[in-house]
Amino acid sequence: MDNLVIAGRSFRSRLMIGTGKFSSNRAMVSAMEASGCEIVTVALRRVDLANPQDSMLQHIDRNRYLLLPNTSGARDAEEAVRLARLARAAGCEPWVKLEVTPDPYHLLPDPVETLKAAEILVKEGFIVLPYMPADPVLAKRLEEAGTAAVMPLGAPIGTNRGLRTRDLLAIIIEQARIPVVVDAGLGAPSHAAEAMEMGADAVLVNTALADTPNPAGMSAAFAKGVQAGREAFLAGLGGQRNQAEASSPLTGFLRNEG
Amino acid sequence: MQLQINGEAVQAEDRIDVGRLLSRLELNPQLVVVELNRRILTPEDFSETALTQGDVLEIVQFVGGG
Repeated sequence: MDNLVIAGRSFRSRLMIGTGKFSSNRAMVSAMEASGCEIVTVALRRVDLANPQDSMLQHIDRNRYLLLPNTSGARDAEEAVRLARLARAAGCEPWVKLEVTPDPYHLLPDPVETLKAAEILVKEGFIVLPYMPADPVLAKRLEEAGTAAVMPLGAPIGTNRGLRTRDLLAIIIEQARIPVVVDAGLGAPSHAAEAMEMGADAVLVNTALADTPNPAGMSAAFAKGVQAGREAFLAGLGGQRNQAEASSPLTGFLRNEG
Repeated sequence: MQLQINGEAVQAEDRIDVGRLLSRLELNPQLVVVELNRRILTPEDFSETALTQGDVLEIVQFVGGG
């Protein structure tokens, strides 16, 4: 498979992994290893003073995985910028998955606040990968603002419903001059393969890998889906038609024609 | 004196610095980020930053997330 390049940095894997919802750190690490991923997202939260937990960072090999802190929980641009700065202060490279989701029910990204935060963070030197609605106009606006990629959603976070935004994703992919990472809603390896066949540059998966009895097995399956989809895209898919077109010759039948 | 840490009122000894506060709270200074009155501190600041009555702190760390 050809390499993925984001902000001048090259990655062998086109599968990014979210680290939320795993039953244990061990399950999380097994998924990371089986997926072959090189980029993992993490979130920032208040320490529980009454019950300080082991940091999950101790389980992640920072030489092997690029940490992509998200701004989950941010309800507007100001909160997102604050979270991004905190993540950078934690010693992370200045990469951020920008996420502004004011509505807790659907967790859909706020396009106006996302663009506003992206403009600020780009100016501050962050490498910004915004989670966004599958809106081709917004994708262009974010690209013009200097984001390193766009991350349009396939379906709402955690729903496992696949590429519900397929037609809009196709337009985003066609227009983009920066990598398109389909994020959210991918529930099966076939969903990931479909996104890659369409020409997405990468996918990000979390719930489907965490919410299964076998995170390592599912992660390996997703890695194959991503690879198959990418190879199919590079090879070039055949066109679709409405009428059948025989694969076998239409001559030489064992009967007399006419 | 009283501090506000992560939204909760916490009693602390007078003139405690951030480094000592973290060790009182049994937190590893390498693995948390501290914001004092909305200003982000670097780890080098911890032992040189004395706290005063009413200071507002946020202490955050990385957790799993997508």
